[in-house]
Amino acid sequence: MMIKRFLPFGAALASFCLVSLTGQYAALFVQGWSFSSWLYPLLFTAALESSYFAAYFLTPQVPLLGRVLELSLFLSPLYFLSAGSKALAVESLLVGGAWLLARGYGRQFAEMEIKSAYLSDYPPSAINWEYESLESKGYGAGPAVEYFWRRFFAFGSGAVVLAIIAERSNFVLDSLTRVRLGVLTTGSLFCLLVLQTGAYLFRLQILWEYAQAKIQPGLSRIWLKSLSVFLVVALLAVNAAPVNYSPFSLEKIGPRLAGFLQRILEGPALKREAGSDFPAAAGGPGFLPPPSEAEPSWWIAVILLIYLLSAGGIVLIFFLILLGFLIVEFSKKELGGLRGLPKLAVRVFKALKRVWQKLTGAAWAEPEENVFSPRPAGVKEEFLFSRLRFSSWPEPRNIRAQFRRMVRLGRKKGVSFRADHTAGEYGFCLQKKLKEGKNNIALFIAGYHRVRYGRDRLGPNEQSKIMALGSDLIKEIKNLGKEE
Amino acid sequence: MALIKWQFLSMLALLAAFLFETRTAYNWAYLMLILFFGLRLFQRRLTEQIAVRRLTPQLSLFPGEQKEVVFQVENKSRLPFAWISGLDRIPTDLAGTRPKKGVFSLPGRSRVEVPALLTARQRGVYVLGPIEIFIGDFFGLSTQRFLVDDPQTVLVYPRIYNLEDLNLTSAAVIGPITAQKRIYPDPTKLAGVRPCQAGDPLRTLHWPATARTNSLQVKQFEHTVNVTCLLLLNLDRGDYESKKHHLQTELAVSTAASLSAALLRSGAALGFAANGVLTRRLAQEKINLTGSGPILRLRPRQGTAQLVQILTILAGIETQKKVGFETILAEQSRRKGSAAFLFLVIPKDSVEIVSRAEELVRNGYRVHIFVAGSKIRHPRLLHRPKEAPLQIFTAREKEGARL
Amino acid sequence: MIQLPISSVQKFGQKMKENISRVIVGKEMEIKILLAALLSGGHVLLEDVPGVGKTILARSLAISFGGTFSRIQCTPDLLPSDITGVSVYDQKLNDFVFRPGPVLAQIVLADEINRATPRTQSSLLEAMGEGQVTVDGVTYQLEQPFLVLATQNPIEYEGTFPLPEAQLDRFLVRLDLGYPSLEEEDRLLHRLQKKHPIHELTACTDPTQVAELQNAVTEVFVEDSVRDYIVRLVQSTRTHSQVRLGVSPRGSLFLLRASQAWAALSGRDFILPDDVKKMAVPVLAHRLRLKTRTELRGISAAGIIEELLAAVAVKAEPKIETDL
Repeated sequence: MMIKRFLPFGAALASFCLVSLTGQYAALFVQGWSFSSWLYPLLFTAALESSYFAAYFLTPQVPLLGRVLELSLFLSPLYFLSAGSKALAVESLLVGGAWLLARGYGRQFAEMEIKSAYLSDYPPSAINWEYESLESKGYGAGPAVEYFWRRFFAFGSGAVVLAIIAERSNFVLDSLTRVRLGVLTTGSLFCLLVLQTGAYLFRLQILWEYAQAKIQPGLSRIWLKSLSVFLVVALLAVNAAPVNYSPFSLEKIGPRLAGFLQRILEGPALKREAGSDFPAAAGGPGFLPPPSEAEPSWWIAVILLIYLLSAGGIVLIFFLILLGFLIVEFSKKELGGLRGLPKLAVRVFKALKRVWQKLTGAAWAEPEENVFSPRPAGVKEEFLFSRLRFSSWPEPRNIRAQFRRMVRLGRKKGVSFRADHTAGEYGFCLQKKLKEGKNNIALFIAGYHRVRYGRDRLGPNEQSKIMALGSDLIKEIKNLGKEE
Repeated sequence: MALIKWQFLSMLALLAAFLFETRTAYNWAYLMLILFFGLRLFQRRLTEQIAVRRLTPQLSLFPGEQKEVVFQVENKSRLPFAWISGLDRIPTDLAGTRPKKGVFSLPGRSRVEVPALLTARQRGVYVLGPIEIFIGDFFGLSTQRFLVDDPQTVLVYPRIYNLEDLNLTSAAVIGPITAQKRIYPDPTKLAGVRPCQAGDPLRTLHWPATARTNSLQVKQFEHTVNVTCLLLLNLDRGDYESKKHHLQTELAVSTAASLSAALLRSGAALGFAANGVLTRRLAQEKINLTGSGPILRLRPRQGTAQLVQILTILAGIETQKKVGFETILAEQSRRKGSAAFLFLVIPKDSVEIVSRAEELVRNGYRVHIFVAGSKIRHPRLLHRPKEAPLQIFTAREKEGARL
Repeated sequence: MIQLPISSVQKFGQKMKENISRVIVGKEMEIKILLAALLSGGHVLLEDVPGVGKTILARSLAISFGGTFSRIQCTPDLLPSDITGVSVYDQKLNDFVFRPGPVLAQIVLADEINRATPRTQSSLLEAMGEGQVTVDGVTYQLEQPFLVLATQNPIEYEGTFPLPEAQLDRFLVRLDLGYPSLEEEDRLLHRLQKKHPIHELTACTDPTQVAELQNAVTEVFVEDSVRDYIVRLVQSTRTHSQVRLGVSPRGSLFLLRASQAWAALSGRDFILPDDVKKMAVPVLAHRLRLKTRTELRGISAAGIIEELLAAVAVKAEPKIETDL
């Protein structure tokens, strides 16, 4: 499956979420304008059309007039739907924004495909690096599909800026708006990440196609399934992580910073005021002696600088320790290959660890190897069936029918009846699974053998005895896996 | 842009979150940290849980045969891998179709098998591998490349022809076996009767003759003979025509293989000697070579195991130019009684070789010379009676023999 | 003749097994196969490396059986007449007198049969196939039951003559004894420390009873689907890509008989596909001629039979769809 056909849809969805989020914030900032609900379908339609058109049909030969007409198709309804010129302007900007964002993505997909045409100049064996072939980069140069990463970062940062401005502006947000903003922010990030991975998969698919690789059927499906689990876990973790615990928040360091700045700018006046209003301070115990008038005012700047440097340094060390801890924990055996910031972080962390060990005299226990225990040979999920389904079957009338029922039930419990299996061999396989009926199965199979392969018929007593065994066994097979 | 830049931006995002204390900023920073630090580190850790192994046992093929080789990639962790690609490096002479890279997505605790088709075209000893594995994440942030060095040797035996396909008759190979070395009286071959002497076992009495002559007569049997043969292959590069070196070598080796198969199938004990060199890759194989020095020798034995040994040597043997074929022949004439039949497979019947062969015949050997692919220089030795101790034959591949 | 019930076959089997087990340690499966061969009137070829107890097993069976027993030590100079017998000129009678060979016994142990020349080996053919020998134009009927127990060393051993296909086909089963397990070998040493128990072994049955039991075994019921399974299994050996020569119709008949005997020894009067599977390798493997290339790859005939057992559908319950 080439994922390209789904990518413009993802791009449209991401553009829609981003522009809707911007629109929600705009409704807070622009006085007298509210985000109308009819804008949602319009934004989405504009984005969808733009991304698909760009991905499949847009070429340099499409005239400018055509593009203008395409955009006006979505802008013209605004004229009728908008209430006032201010609203028209904002809404036009939003629709235009969604259209342009989606267009950019769509164009990028088309370009990826165009670039891939260069690959046909190479023999398939030369296309052996999934990593660099499309962009002619060296191995390990940087992340693939960087266009999407740039946009991801830009839009994410933009959303953060808007959120900060909205919070700092002390807007009173009702709960509905909060939910809407939250959903749109999470949705935007989710869509951007899905788009990111989709673009990457598309790029890989192009490379694999030219390299004539043998692709596992259903690879995209498995990929997207695993990805969705990863994204849900990541977004949940991100939302559950603690916030607002910073010792260096603007609220905490802002007043001091402002005070210091003020002192720098208004130093002498302050001193005079201090001398007149608080005479005790001049020579009172417990106070620092005021600086003499002869001293220059640059010492304040020095203290400020020292403060800033130490604050920055502490923040930096804190980050390095945290990062070092994460690296050491996650990649114990690969520390030698680290470069740059991570290497520094590990060094700082290890130094701190050594100091701590010296101080406490305690050795830190090395974490145990992450060895996963093998999956117990239990019953797979797919073998769990509802009781209703089994109970709807009629009771087997004879021993052979009972055996057939056992085979059908056993198959659903993971004991398959192969073509080369004899009844005896199958009974042996079942025996390994059963607990109570271990002995009964041998007796039942012996009876079955007489019925199936023997010359003589069983007597009524014998038959009923074996059928009773069979019924018990069927019940036990039905209950297999339920206790587990 | 290098990844470090994105890591730096992640740190900035965290700084912004610390400064502005907004949930959105924190969420954004955490997401960036997960993507640009966590995911990469996690991926590296996960790759330790990947196991790659070959599933196909030791392989030996005949030219023209095809066989699928499989390697398995197993994800031992519970977490999924976005994609893994694997390619087994297969020598060109052995690749069936162009080897294709296998690409797959591996969920947790799962395994996948990657097959590749081998086609044996040319005899030789080939080594498969290493297996090249690429592992990537969902976002293209880190791709890791590994070479799994798990070499597997594949032997391609020389082509074995029916003797008719080499323009040879079975008589040329087995011939009328005359004894050079008697073992014991063969009870199936009655040579006649003779009067009974003291010590003759009673069971050898010939009763009809006893009745007829009215005196005890015992059966006289022909002695059974050892059918020990020795195949000598000349791989002195100087004896091969430089233009046809490859073709002639292959024909000589195939002739040796076909003769060995025919002889061992007929129940003879066959030894082997050649003045070639073995390819280094054959060192791991279990070959019971005897003696040391420049000549490769196998002790005469019967059965399939011996044929396997000879074919294994022939799969990895190459010509050399240090040891002449005359050395082998001279050595052979000194080893009297080690074999009754000598089969010489040579590229040309030079005067020296033929004179050495005549010397061997004088020492009691029967010598059949098979000239692989070139013109006979001693036509007098061609088409001789079956019993002639020295004969010469031309081994030429019949048209359509390979079909 | 009185038809014996199947339970008597099972009892016979247990009695024989207990008796032979006084000498042979372990190898219960091999002993049962041997008894199955005896009851289905077939001959047995024991093949393995020297020293694993082939001859002792054969001798134990022969003694336990209680009939006339003779032993032929095969050597390259053994004559056909050494086996079948020879007409000796009697000067008193002025005529030739037939002096019977060892083959005219009820149990014949041909030790190291592949050391004899092919012609000598072939002299056993008529006796094994038709239960008679012809010497100097006179045919002598062999006393029933007649069983040839032959032992042979693996063919790779030097100085051996592989048995011809025709002769191999006349053996009902071929058995590889294999080395004893650690525990078995320990028990073996303990048992043989003073005196070999074979010297104290006595007969536990008689030829008449065995003949009756052989008749009882032929009455074991064979359901159509099992017969069909045997036919399909044998057919598949003839179309296998790695086989040069498949199993002959005699092979399928022997497989049926051996399965019947196995079922009877297990106390059943009907055979199961499981019996066929049990007997398939001992009965069929030695009848296959593999292609040279297959042999060169070290693939054994037993391996091919096992592969076919896993490939040929049993059709245990035709109404059930089977899994792959």
